[in-house]
Amino acid sequence: MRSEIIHAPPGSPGGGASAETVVTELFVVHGLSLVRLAFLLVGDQETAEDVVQDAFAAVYRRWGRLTDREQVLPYLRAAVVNGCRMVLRRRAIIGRFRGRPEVPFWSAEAAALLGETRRQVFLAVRALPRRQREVLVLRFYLDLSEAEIAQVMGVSRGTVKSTASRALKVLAVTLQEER
Amino acid sequence: MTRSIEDRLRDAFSTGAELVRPESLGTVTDTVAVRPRRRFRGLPVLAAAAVVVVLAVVALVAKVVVPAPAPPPVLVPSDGNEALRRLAAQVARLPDDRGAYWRRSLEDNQLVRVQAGGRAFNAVVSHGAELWLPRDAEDPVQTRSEEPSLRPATPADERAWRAAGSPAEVQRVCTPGTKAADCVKLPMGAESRECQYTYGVAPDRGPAAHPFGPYTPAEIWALPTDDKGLRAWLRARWESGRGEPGTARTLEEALAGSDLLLRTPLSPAARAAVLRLLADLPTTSVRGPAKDPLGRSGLAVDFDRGRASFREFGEDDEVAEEHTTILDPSTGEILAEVTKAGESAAGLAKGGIMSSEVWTPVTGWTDDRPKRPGNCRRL
Repeated sequence: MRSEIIHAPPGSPGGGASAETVVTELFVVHGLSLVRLAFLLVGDQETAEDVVQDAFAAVYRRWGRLTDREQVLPYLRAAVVNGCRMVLRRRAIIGRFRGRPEVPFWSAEAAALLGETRRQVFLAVRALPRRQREVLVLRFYLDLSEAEIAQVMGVSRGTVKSTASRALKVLAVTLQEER
Repeated sequence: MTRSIEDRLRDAFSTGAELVRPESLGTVTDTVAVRPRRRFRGLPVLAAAAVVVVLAVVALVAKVVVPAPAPPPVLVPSDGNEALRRLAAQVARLPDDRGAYWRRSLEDNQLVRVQAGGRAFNAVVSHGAELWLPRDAEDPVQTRSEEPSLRPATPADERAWRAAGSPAEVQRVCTPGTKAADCVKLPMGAESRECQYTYGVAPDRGPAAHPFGPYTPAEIWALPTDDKGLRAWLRARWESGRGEPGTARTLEEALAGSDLLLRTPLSPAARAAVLRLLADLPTTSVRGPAKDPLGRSGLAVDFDRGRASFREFGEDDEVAEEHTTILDPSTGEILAEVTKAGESAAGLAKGGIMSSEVWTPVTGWTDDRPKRPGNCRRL
């Protein structure tokens, strides 16, 4: 279920609107959904907010060079997905230095808040390869189309389609659903 | 009632995401100014609630690669595949000189991620293979191939290997979940490369039996050199093999697969016809001038446009690939086939070469005859 409207900001940013004004408006409209997207990928809100802040800062810095303003939202999403990938890799390094074999992925508080059934879904998705997890979150949280997912992830539509199909097949077995 | 997987995913994601409450986000102006990151925000329970949809694994990465966001769409160059058509016109004018033998000498290199002494780094698996194909079918065919060898990929990788004590064996870095029997140790830095060869007239088995895959040498030398004739020939071949394993599902796929013909000793007229046909296909996209791994200048072409492919690298089970064929700008022959990373991964930058097949400079028609290799095992 989507709780945000994912559309380009109303009206194209005209010559008169400053970068600061437009980027601020973008955050008002899309900031929450982007933080939630990052949250689903990295697992904690603080990191998710940092990733999204970096993404907006990048848009702000590049504003003068962005020729197609309608591409700003896909650019933001791509920046968030890429930022999350970097976090996960960095996290793996830190985990190694501290001698922990795994980054803790679940807490008692979260399980209590979300319920065991949902926790099973998260556990199953957690076990999937990175690309499959990303496609599932973009598809079933943001409700993006194949074309939009392809643009965010920087891969072809064919890859999105085959990746989603593979992921759902694995989950069907893991979660013992009939498709 | 059983819910579908899709519904359960939507429910879990939306409920999980709502753990991020709107009122817990920073003010808008914080995002615009480029300043140090905010520290802890949000309610204590959210900080503790590590709702993570990730794969948490042991990753012995030597460096973190910074990926870039997907670039905005790029306009297709206005001249499309004209460079390929111009090359075809040039090739068509070349003389059809053939010698006693066609010699093809290939050097394959593949990048792999390995680890030793607690460090991960990159290494290259190299493998050489040679074919001597006679013009006269009554002369012997000879093949020679070397055992693969492994060496550090770059000076930095070499330093990492030496810091680990220059071990004779390194561990492959594999995708989590790979069976232990498949995630093997590899011998590193071997000095000698063992080899094997075949030698015989009209071999019907072994590496010399089908040097051009589905095409026989006789077919190659009789290939139509006009556009209509070539298309008809390809269509007839496809129709006769339809439904059989290995045959393309559609005629369009079969035509796109004709780039395989470029790997054979075509006459200049036939090569030009193949290049013209490929230039007209939507699966062909000229990338422009490029240098091959030996530094030779060529024309880079993607003959696989629109088809997604990916391979494993290190722990990442799916790294998008981009295939490029680099053609000699005078003869239209292949200089190299290069596969680059279409995205970054641990130890691999976007655009980095994942594998290459180089057609070494000795490739081509010659009046030399193959000498049986003295130090190779005969198959």
